[in-house]
Amino acid sequence: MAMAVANHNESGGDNINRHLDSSGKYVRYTAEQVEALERVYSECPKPTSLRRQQLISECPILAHIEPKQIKVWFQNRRCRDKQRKEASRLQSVNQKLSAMNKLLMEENDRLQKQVSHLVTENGYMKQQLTTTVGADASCDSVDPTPHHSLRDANSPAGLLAIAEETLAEFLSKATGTAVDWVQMPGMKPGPDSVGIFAISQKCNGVAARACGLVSLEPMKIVEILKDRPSWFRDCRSLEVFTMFPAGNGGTIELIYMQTYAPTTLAPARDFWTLRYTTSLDNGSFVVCERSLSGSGAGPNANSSAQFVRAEMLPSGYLIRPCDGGGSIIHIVDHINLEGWSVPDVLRPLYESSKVVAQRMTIAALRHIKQVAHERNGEVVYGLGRQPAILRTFSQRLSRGFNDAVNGFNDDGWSIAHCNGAEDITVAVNSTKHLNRFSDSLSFLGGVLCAKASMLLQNVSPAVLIRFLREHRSEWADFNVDAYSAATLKAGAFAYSGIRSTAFTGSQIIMPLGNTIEKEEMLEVVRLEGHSLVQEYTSLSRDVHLLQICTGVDEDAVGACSELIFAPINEMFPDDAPLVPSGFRVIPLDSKTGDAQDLLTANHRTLDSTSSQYVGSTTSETGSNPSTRCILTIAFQFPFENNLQENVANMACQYLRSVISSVQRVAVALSPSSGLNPVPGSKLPPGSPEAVTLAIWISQSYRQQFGSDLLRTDSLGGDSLLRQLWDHQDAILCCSLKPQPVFMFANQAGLDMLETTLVAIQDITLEKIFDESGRKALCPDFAKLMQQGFACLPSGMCVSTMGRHVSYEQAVAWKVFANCEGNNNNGIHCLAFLFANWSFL
Amino acid sequence: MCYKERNQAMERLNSKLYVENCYIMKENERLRKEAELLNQENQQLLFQLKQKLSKPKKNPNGSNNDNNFCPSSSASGKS
Repeated sequence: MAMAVANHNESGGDNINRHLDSSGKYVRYTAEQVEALERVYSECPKPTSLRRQQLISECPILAHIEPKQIKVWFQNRRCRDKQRKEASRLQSVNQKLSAMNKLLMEENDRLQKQVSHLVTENGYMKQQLTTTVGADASCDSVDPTPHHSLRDANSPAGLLAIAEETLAEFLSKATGTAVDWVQMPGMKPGPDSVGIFAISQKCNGVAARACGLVSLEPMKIVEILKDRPSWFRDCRSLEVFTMFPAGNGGTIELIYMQTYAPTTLAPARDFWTLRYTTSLDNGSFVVCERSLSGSGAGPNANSSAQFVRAEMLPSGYLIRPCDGGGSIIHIVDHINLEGWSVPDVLRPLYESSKVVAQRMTIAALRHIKQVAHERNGEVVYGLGRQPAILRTFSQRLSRGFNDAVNGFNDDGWSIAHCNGAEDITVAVNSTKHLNRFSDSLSFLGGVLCAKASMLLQNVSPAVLIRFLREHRSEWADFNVDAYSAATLKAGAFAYSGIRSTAFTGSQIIMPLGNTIEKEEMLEVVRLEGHSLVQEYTSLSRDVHLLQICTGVDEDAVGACSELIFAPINEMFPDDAPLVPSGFRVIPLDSKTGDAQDLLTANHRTLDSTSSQYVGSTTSETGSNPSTRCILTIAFQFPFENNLQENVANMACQYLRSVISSVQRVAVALSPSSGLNPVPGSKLPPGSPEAVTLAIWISQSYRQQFGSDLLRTDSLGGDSLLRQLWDHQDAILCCSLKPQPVFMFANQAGLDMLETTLVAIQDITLEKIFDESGRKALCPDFAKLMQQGFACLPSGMCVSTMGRHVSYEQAVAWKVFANCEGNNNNGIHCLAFLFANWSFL
Repeated sequence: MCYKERNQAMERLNSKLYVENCYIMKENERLRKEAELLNQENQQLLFQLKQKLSKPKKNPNGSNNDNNFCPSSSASGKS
């Protein structure tokens, strides 16, 4: 590698490889020198001054170069790497924008044709109306109103007729205006957008549409999409009852599909549909589907009794191949979930096109894009596992959670007892269900599930789930997790060991993988525990959990957020048994709010042509004061024979405590309380407003360093706070207690420490540095207290998630409370600024 | 290997594409609404024509009139 790069560097005009010699002339580094430098660079791109000196002394080739030149060489080299990365990033952004552009132009073209066609037609008809028409005009008049005639669903010919009708209706929605489409609010039209999304405003049922460009061939896409259980997390099963060929090489299938209910408050839905797969004259492929009337049911009448029959109106997928091997795909989902039969409070969920869009339509497109990326090798492997295997893990976690929430009889669940007061339902499942996975579970008496659904007010799903994920110790009892883990592992021996474990309360999250847009993250959580038993103190009692976290993007309107985890063996073999538990939070928007939301949302997303990309500066859900959502909790506990009663009691108690913790957290996170992470809001009581703090920070900086941290020419402290907040360097403030604790950080500071304004108050200054970092900080800290400021050299610190951060430089200064007209300039806090920081 | 300028140029191009995309999206939205209106008008006209065609005997002007114009079928099914 050094060789190739060395040649590369010799190309003309390359400034890195020149330096000033003793006589002040520009001299090039020789090939050997460059090679040596590159070798060191590949091992250590940021050598300390000590290391650089070592390098000069050890390496005779570099002997006559000034240390400063070496330093400059490394700086420039790092800079070039950065620029290279930037170039490839810009390149990929460019590709996405171009693809989007192509899509949009196509749609534009089609729409223009449509409009001109309609204009011609209308003109023609107007002409006809004004002339007199013949007496025996016996042409077929087309009935303008779409008629839902009763077709014969019992013969292939009849079915074919229905199929053709379905095709026509689907196409008129996919590329036409048969449904009154409006742009999906919150859709980012920027380079990272997956596609173009639209939802219905008022029509029978709810509908969503997606349009995107995917680099997969059409047949592969058809195959993936038809296999609904593989990408539609809510789909429990899909059975093809009959399949027969239709005319032009297509097929007609009769399908029974069951979907999971999202909460414990309403039953699940099922569908009996006809699916027609065919190809069009223009080379496109179509898969369209609609419900058939009639009582087509699954083989087991018992199971379908637990379902409410829902209706699928003509929906489907239109896939057109485009040059370059990719395809343009249009997806339409139009369903009627029979919301009239669910409790009032839940109804908005069943009548929301945004929820359908997120769960079905956008999910489908994202999945295809994910598969395309995996095939192109663009996905990073986590811990040596293939992306497809990781996806299986997340699918199993999702499915297991859904299974627990729904508790279907034919899966082996039966209701144990309902704890009436708290609306907690307890259900039990026998081991038959789990033995599919592993023989080691044969000693188990079964799995017990405690679940509940409830309404939460004034909190955004994304914010809540993010908090629950980052601060597990706020709601979880790690001993319970240890119990579940041990019970799954082996027999009685492991169980007795748990009682003697102490947990530190901290968790370490190790990311395994995430989807392209990071709307789903798969990770392993390690709960550190130590054995309390004297002889075994060296034994690690760590508990590992496999966890998925979805929907933490606050801008995704209608998306539900989930945190689902299951105890797992440290090695987590591909077929490890998973008994998931978790939380699901779904936003409920009120019907009346919808129209207004859509108007303002469209206004925002389309009018941002002035800014580079649409950022998340205006969050839809956060600004709405009456955000309501439904929280569903389901926790599963494996239990040994004869211990069902004990475990049931423990489960109920635990669930109750978790629920009250979550409710407490929800209250703390609501915008009306003072602790919302939005700049300009109040900091905890006893400290000045954030605006005042910003003023003090910048004034003190000026006093100590003589230059301006922020532009003071602008009017008002509000813009000062805004500048501070948006500053690219991480700026943090910590209190002056004997153990300094952080009390404020700007956006960059929160990003660096991977925390929130609420949580940062738990972090001590010491915690963000490791051993050597703390040692290095000591003398600087003394200097800071003595002279009021200090400059720290480049170094490292650690985020709350355990990620290492390196920074080029840091400064610290005392922040004085500057009360006007009052000589009381007492010291308020310490400020730290970390310049040019990045994750390692 | 002048990354700086190249990156700046790419950045400019990306911005231009982005703005163009936003513009086209707006335009498409407008066209969609227009198509919707025209469609409604279309339905009405069809209905009127149908009405007109279903009252042939009352027309005093011509039983032998051969003006046998059929309205073209449109309604749904555009792809």
